[in-house]
Amino acid sequence: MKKLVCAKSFLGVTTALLLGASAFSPTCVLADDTPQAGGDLVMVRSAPIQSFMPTLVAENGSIWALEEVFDTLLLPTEDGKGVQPGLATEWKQSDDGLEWTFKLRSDVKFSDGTPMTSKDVKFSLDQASNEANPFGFINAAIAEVKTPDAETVVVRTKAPFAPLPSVMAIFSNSIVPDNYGGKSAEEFAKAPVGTGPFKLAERTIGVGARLVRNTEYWQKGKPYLDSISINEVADGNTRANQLMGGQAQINEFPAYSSTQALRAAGGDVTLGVFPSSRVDFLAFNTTKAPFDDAHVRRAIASLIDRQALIKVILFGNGEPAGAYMSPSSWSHNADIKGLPFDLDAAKKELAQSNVPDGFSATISVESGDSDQATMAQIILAQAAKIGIKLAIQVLDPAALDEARQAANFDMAFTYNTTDIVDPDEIIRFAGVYDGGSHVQYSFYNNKEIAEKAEQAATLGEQDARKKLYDEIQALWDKDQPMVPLYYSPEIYSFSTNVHGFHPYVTGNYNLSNVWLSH
Amino acid sequence: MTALSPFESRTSSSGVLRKMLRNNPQLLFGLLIVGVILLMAICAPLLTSYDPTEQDFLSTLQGPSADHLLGTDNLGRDLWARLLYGARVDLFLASVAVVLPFIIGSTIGALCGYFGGWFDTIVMRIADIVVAFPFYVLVISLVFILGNGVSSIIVAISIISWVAYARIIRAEAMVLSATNFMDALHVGGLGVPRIIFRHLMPNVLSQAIVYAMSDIVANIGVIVTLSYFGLGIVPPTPDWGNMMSEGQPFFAGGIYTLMLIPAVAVIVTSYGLSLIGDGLATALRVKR
Repeated sequence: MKKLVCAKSFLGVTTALLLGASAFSPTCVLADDTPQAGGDLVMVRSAPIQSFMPTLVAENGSIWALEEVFDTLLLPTEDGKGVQPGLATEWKQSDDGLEWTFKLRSDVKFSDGTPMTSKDVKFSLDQASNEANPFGFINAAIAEVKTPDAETVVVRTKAPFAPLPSVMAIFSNSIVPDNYGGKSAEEFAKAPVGTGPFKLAERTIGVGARLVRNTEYWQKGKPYLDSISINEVADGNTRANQLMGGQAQINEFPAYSSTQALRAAGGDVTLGVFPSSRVDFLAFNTTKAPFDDAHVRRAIASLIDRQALIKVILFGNGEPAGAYMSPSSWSHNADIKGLPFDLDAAKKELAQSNVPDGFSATISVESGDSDQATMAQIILAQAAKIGIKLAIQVLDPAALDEARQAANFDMAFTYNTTDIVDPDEIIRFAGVYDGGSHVQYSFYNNKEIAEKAEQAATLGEQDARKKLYDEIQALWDKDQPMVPLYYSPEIYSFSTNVHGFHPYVTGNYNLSNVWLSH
Repeated sequence: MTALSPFESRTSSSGVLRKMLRNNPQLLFGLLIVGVILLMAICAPLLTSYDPTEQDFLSTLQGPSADHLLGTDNLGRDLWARLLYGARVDLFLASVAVVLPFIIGSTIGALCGYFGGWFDTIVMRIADIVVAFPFYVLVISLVFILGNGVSSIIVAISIISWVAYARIIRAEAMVLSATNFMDALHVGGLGVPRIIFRHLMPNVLSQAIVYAMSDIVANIGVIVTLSYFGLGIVPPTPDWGNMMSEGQPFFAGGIYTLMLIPAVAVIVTSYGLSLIGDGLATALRVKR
């Protein structure tokens, strides 16, 4: 299921095979097609862009947009399992494990024409390491950034820190000009200057942003597109109509219920299903009775029919979740299958808990999010069978966020996607109390997991780290601070004249590779 | 209106219908439409054997069939059953939500019209403040503060819609207070409460009753809108508004019935109630 579905690429592959061509790229590029330059691409999506300031954003809507404007020292690979050169061409760890040396590309200029040097890199990393930033924690291991010469950057860590290369590939460590080119941070956020393939032309809050080709871009011949417009269109039906009507070329996250029709269509629009690191959860407020009792959490976990969720919510586009780490990460513990859907097991767990006769609680869902409302109704119906009376509380998105952050809720849905290829980020984000969001606001605090995560990050050997990560996931699985629901791909629908569109596992759009056939 | 001939005034029940069809077809059709819908809502358990909240993952998103008259939704729930039980919820709540504003508004209006003076001025300025806010903005913010659910809906509607009744009754009561009829009551030595509640109000309530009919339509609109935005009836309780919002994402996938069926139900019911309102207005106008 998790591969690109594209009628034309299938045709292309067949042609290529018939012609005896050996090269096959798993994208929508036709074998006999060469990229054409020019054209304006419109992407429609529901997620807004909050800011173009790399150090201040925390949600995918902003992250994926600013990645088109800024570059990082390294880039994730397409499969999300490693890193590849970005603004740095070479990197190596010192023998004592404490220093990482990066060699910078010499021909890189910012979109305003000034050359990029190690000074810019140092400024960027120093800004990003501010602990007050949403992703400041990701740089916690960094002790100092040194600049021996204009093309060399040395990052010194407090202890040996294996995930450092992947940390250099995260959006928050995007390279900005030294001292923001003389602007204040606020001014810079409004008129960002980066080394990425595009630069910001205009942005209207609530409407979207238009990015135009960065003529100074260091990759010669790229980007192919003249401009991209990222338009915020909240309603899924409107997005689908705009794509069908040719007003947009890419629709981010079409309704799962439309995937079958899109697959069958074979007309001007096609469906792209890309592997993602997304994991969806039902989070408990583990500070509040009765959810401070692991038996209660396990009872609820046993009530959830994941196969039903995949059928009803994802229309088959996903897999039931077990371990809290996504299968897209090498750290994923495949032995953990999650608690199976079993009413008797749920009853047994409840009998061992502080509330053997059942209890009343609420599931908070976001207003307007019909998937959450549907999942809540499925869980509610099963819970009633073992004496747990659940009520659905509908809150608007801002109120729900506030309630979750203030630990003023019982149960709520949440998800995560990774921004770096190393498991360190999500192991902490979804497992360690101090990992950025108190375990996605479940407030689960397990010291043993925190210690193991700390230890794993210092190890260079992947096998040794994997062993620790497996243990962490097993501990977490026993406690069920959140119930992993499903692993889902990222789905996009796009016009068949869009080529080379292939978001990475980390979500990066990589629109510099995209071209339109005219 | 033409005078009725002696033959027409002494007719059978079918004759009454025929007369009504000629004189007041709006009222007749309105009563028919709403009557049928009410009957269906009341008899819901007789018209379907399905529980509107019963999920069946083996038969999700099915089209109409002998088993499921209108098909099933994404949770495999029977749409016909949800439509019927949704009608119960929406119509009942819309009608109940009229009662409080009707009583409060009419009483306040009668008092204002009878007494006038500073009391009238203060109450009417408060009324102005309430109506100065856009209706939906106020309702939505009230429900947001009170939390979603049946009681919040009733409270929110009551806080706002008493104003209309108060204004209607006040105007009528002022007119009546200036007549010889009122003078006669005063001279007759009747107490003020008795005058207001036994003599004044029965004479001015007809306009408020007509308005109440259109107010039920408005209430259906409010309840369905709130539920559509996720601020009204809490799922899984069926309601036409949450049925529409749950069905909306399936539009892009080419499944239209989930959204259209409850939408049509709202339109037909509102049309019926509007007809009754117009018909009543006509009927009462003739009498006066």
